[in-house]
Amino acid sequence: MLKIIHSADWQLGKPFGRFATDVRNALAEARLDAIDRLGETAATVGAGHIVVAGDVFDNVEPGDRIVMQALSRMERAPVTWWLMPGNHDHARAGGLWSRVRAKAPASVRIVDVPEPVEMEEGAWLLPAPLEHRKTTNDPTAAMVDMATPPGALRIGLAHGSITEFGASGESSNIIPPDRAKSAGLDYLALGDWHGYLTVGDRTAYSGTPEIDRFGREEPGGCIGVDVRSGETPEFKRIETGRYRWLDRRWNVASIDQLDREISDLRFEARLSDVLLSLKLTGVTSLADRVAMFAAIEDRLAHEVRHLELATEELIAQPMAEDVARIDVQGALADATATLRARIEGSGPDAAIAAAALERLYIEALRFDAEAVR
Amino acid sequence: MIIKSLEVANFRKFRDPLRIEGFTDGLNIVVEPNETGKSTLLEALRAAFFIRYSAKTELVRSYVPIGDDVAPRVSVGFHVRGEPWTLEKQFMKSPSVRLAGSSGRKESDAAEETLQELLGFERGNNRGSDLETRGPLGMLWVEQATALAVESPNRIVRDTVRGVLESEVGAVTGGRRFDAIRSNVEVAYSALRTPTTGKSRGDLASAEVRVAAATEARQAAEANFREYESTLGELETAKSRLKILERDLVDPEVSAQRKKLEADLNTAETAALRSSAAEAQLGRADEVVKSAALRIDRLDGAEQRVATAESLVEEAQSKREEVQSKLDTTSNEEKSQRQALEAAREVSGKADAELHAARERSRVFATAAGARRSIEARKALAGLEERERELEGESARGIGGDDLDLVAKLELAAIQARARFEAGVVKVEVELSEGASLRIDGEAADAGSVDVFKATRFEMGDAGGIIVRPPEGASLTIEADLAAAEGERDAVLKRLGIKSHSDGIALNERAAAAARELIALRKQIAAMCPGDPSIALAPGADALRAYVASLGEVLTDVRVPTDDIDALQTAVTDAKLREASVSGRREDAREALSKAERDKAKADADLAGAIRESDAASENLQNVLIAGGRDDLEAALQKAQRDRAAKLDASESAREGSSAFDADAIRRRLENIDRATKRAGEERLELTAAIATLESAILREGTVGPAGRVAETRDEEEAAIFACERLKQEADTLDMLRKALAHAAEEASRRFLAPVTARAGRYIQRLLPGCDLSFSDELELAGVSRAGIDEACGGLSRGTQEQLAILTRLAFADLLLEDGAPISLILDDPLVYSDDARLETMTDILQDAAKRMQVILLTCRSKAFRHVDANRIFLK
Repeated sequence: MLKIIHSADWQLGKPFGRFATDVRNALAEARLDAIDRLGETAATVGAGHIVVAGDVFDNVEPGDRIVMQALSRMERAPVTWWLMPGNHDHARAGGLWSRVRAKAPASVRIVDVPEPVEMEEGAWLLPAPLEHRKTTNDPTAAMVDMATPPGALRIGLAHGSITEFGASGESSNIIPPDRAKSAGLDYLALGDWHGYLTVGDRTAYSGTPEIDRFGREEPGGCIGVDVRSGETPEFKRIETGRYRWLDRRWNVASIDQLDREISDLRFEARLSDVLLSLKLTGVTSLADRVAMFAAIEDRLAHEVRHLELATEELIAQPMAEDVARIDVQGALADATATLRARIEGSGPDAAIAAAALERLYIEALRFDAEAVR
Repeated sequence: MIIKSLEVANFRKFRDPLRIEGFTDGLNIVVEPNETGKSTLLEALRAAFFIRYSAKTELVRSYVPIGDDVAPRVSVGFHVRGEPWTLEKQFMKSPSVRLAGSSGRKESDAAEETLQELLGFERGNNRGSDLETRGPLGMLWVEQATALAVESPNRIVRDTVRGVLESEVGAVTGGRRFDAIRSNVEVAYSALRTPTTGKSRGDLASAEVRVAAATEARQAAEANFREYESTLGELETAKSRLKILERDLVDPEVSAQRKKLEADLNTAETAALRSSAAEAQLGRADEVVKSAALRIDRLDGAEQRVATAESLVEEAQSKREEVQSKLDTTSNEEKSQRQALEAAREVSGKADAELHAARERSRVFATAAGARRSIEARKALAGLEERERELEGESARGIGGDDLDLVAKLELAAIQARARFEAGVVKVEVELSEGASLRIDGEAADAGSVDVFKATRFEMGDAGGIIVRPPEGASLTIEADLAAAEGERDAVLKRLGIKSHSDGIALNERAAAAARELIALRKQIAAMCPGDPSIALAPGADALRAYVASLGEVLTDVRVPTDDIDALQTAVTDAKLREASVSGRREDAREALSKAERDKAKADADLAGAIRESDAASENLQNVLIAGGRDDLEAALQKAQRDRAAKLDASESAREGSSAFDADAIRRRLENIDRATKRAGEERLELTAAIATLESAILREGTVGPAGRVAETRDEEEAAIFACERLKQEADTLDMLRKALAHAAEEASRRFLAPVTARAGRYIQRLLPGCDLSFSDELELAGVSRAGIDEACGGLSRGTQEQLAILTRLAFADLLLEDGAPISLILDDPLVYSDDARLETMTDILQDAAKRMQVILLTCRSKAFRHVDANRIFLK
């Protein structure tokens, strides 16, 4: 039996450029921290090997800084790392992997040619590295003909989609779901899908150790696998991720509803590790809308690591009180009327008019607040 | 408010107290000439109401008449809301104020305060400059200068008007709240865009700059990455090419092919060698055949030559014999001709000798005759020569022209000298009586005349002596001169051998005659010596003399010869002719002989040559025959020909064998293979170098992470665009909001000011039909619009401005009146710039207004307002 840790899709060097600098740095750091965590996990479960099924790096040519950071972290863990090029960091003559190989410590092994390699006695790794971003060929086809000594464990390592995913039929790097069986593999470690997914009893996607985009609710992780000769392997998912990328769509009509949603969220996750993509929908009064924004901006936005707020679908229906709040008569009332007419006219500038009205409302509130003070 | 009376004393021009009474409720026109102080009256009213009694400002000091030290005093009687009031104020000295009304009297500050309350103004600064505090009256008491300006009413008026408007219109602009919000919006907007031009600034501008920079960075990163990718591509291409090359370099097929080609080449070269050897043998066989044939030809030639030579010898011999006989004949003929010639020559020689002798004799005779003639001529010549000599002597005695001239000159000089002498000399003529002796200076003399040129003593006998003394000095020199001249003349005459000049001329004439005769004589001598060729005598006397001298004394006596020379001559000629003819014949014979001898020699030579050729031919034939007889030779030829045919066959087959392999083609193919291999080797080197270069470039570029840069810059660009869009959206939002607010403000203002506009409009419609008014927030008349075209006030004529200024005041006055404020309109010298029509309209309007309020017009132009129905007050 061989204990290994199966990981994939590290996507090191992903820039996260649209985030604020501190968030960007935190996310980049978290990806590197994931390596440490994988090392610790291996030590915990007693695995001597960590296989990485492609996309170690986010792009084909990351800078040396990223490469060195990754390698130095790997070097610290007392395991052997098996890194394989995926579609993001596919192997090219003279490219990234030559650099990595030149700098890698002995414990880091790079499998960028489709040839079986002995991991330790009686255990062979059958890699299917990618040489292009997209290949229509099945990269694992060669595994069938890869000869290993009789009785040795055969562990496949590949990067790509299982045929089942490809709804459109245009997926690249397609792997047949029965590859483990057809190639006589004891375990097929796959990468590319950023979530945890098993295909049959010998094939699995480990997912990324640290989530890197919205749309994936569970935290990042890896798979601890006990590969046994002739038997189905035993594997279990182990969480390694730090940040949660949560997508929320809240239909809120009032500030109270929003408060409820926020307290639910607070209960669900540690907000300081949450990146929240929040979309507000519904119809609300101007007063509530403004109050909600205030609540979000003054509190929630600071609590979470990062907030992306979409409010286009939270329609402000200015109520009589809202309008009265601005002014019941005189020039302000006139301006309000003008803007409302534009909103209702729903011309091309209706959205701007809505924003302008909201701004007027806010300015009026601000003035009143200052006047009180 | 109705002003009833006004009294001033010690106030500027008005030192003496002046009281004006009789103001009515309606329109009052105070008429006074210029400089009488109507403006001072308005000033006094102002002083009374607005300036504190206790003030000592410059303004207040100016109230004191110039040069006086008195207390200016003003008292006004007026009604407010029907209640009568009296106000008395004294400035500077014991200043005081007293306000008396129906409710009692008040003094000092209390009086001032009550006044302010009553008339609705505030305490001002006493300098007369703080117009804002003066309330309605401040606005409505219009002095000359300010009447022209369209200005906003003072604060109190504004506030009052606003109050009135607010109650009347029931709408508010929002006031401070609106202003603050609007200002906040403007501030927020102007942080992003320039309010006037809408140009980006602040955060928005920097966001746009960020987008531009991000886009540029992204493009640069992409370009860099593309370059990197292409480098990678090149590397891959280079590597695969190298792989192919290396495979090609060790291709076993190529080396097998090379080996086979080398074997083929070997075979081909051997075959070619064999072929060329066969060809050489064939060539040799050809040569053998050719030499065999040649040998037979040579035999033929030798035999032929022998035959020809023999026939030639025969021919030469017969020819020689023929020539020999001809030679003999010719020789005989020549011999006989020679003998004939000798005979003829003998005859000729004899005749010749005879002729010669005869001629000699003739010559001797002729010579002797000549000599005799010469001697005779000589003798004749001697006489002539005698005469010639004489003539020569005579002609030579002539004197030269120069000498003759000299003689003449000297003679003349001597005569002149004598004349001078005789003039300077005392001529003493002595006539002696018979027998008397004369002694001169002691010496006896007999001369009858004596020239005395020195003290000379004449003694005649014993009778004593006379001493004659010539004049002192010259006499001696003159004598000397005379002597010299005569001496010189005599010397010349002596040299020339003549006695005098005339003697010289005669001599010359004789010499010339002799010379002429000499010429004739010499011609005669020449004619006598013509020369004689027979005795070789040249012409001339000298030749004759020389010839005769050579003859000697004795002349031989010669007889005349008798020979017939002509006959002799004829005989000689005949003999010569005969000789010549014989000589010609003999020459012919000799010629013929010589030719015959030449023919003979040639025939001899021909014969010898023929014999030599015949001998050589025979010898040649013998030599040829040594190589073999004709049969042998022919047999050898046949053999050689057979041998050649065999060689030809061999050569043909060898050539066929060698043409099966093209050695050159094989060599070319081998060369191609070698060249390709060499080229591949070079290419491998080049590729290896290129790969190294590319790899190092990739290594260098890769460390920067070109793809990572692209991803980063793309994200950054996206973020920058997002941020910029948000700011733009905000700016757009703010822009819409500020425009909405501006529009609302305008609308509100228009609505708010409607009552003012309407009131003023009523008047203005009468003045400027079809004209609309607009007021600013400060209630200032902002402008008028005529036929939809806006005009700012500043652009209007001065007259119109003044009229508008009055009318807007009137409008405000109406409003204030309605509000119950005490109103009084005073115009100081108004409507100066108005034309008649306007003036009339304006006075109509003022008359109308006077129905609602007291109007006081101060003017110096009584004529201008003559048509106005009003209460007129004249100042005295």
